[in-house]
Amino acid sequence: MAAYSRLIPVFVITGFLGSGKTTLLNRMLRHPSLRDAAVLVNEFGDVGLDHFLVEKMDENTVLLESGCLCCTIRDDLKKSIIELNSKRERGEVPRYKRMIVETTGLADPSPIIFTLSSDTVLKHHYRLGTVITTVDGVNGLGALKRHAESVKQASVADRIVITKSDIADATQLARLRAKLERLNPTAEFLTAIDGKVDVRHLLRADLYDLKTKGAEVRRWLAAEAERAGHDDDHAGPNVNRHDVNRHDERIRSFTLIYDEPLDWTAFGIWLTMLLHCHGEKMLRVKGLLNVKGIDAPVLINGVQHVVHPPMHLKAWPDDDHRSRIVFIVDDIDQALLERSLAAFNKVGAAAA
Amino acid sequence: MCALCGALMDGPHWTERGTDAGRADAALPGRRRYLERCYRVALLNRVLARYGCTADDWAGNQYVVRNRSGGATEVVTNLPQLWLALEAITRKTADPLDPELIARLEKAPPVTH
Repeated sequence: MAAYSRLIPVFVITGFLGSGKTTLLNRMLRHPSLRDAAVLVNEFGDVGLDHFLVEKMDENTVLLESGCLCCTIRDDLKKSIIELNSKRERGEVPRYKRMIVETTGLADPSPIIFTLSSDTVLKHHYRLGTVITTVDGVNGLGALKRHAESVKQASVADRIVITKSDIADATQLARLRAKLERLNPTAEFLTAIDGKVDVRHLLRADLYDLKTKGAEVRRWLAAEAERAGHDDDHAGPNVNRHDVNRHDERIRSFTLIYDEPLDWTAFGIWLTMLLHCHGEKMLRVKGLLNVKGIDAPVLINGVQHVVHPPMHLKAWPDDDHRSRIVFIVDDIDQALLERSLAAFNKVGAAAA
Repeated sequence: MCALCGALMDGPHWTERGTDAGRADAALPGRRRYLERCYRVALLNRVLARYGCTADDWAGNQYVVRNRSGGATEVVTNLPQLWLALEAITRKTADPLDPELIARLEKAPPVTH
């Protein structure tokens, strides 16, 4: 098995119905830096994306025919990728260096993420790259309020593109942005104006691209710290709370901070047990750990049941060398979670 | 696949590939891996005590989970499988947020290695 960072990254583009996924994808595919990408789309959309693809992408394109990518054809996704991979190996299609999978608007992106990470064949060739979620600047707030899928899509995102910002009301946009930031403090926000978005920025390498060497980590830690600073007045020591007052929402994010170095073995036992029991409720787990006996900070990154392999950063991104773990959860007791990890860690505390 | 027992081997789980699994695909080397595994089993047994079960290492790449009477035994290759096996044996939920488990761990003596 190749090292994780050398596998082909798969970008997932998701977003609620009418939020501009296809427009974004069209825009992205015209960008020269995506010439080396294979694209998997659904025919569920009503925009003429497939025409564009047939013209421009030629054999790099496989159209999935089953409609909803997540609910009905996880197996199709697997088969499509494996088939495409075989063609790539045989030289029947160009040796693409990345892949983009577009979900339907009603899709929960988790099954796709799970398929990529759990299938025995796929996981030896591909890895999850960045999850990009489009949110409608005009109707996004309503979708988040009414549709669980929309909340889920925003929660698991690495990048959130707010679309139609040129026609949306400024106050409404600000409220939407604030809501999304509370929901997913580690996501990077981009704005699409008249369908235009900074594609290069959007596709900037993810956590596991060696070229960027942790720039992504610095970005989301900085975002987290900024938000933590805002919340200090309202939270106790070591606990940054978000969204606690939103009566109608169970999904919220918070950061647990541990002053003492963590025991890696105990942490592995704890996280696998947690994801086994509560994986569906753990939408994101992202963190930088100070691991006992190891100088380099260890990066952890999980989406529901899936955990990316941990990775060392060369150095701490700032002077704060405490372990910091950001959780985005659905109805999980924060205090209990914090106490639980501390208890597991304590059992290993006397290790040499 | 293991030629003796027919178990499918799926490469080391991220918990067993050291802390830098994102850059290196190999498992920990020999003795370090063995010591780490002994330590993991000792820690696991602190947790499994809550459920009246124990875990042992088998051949350095599998775990044997059993209840106290030894009447129920499962062989697994990684931690996610171990939690499933524990639930199959005990018919209890393996929940790290269980207050009783947390209280037990808070009182448990630390493992040394």
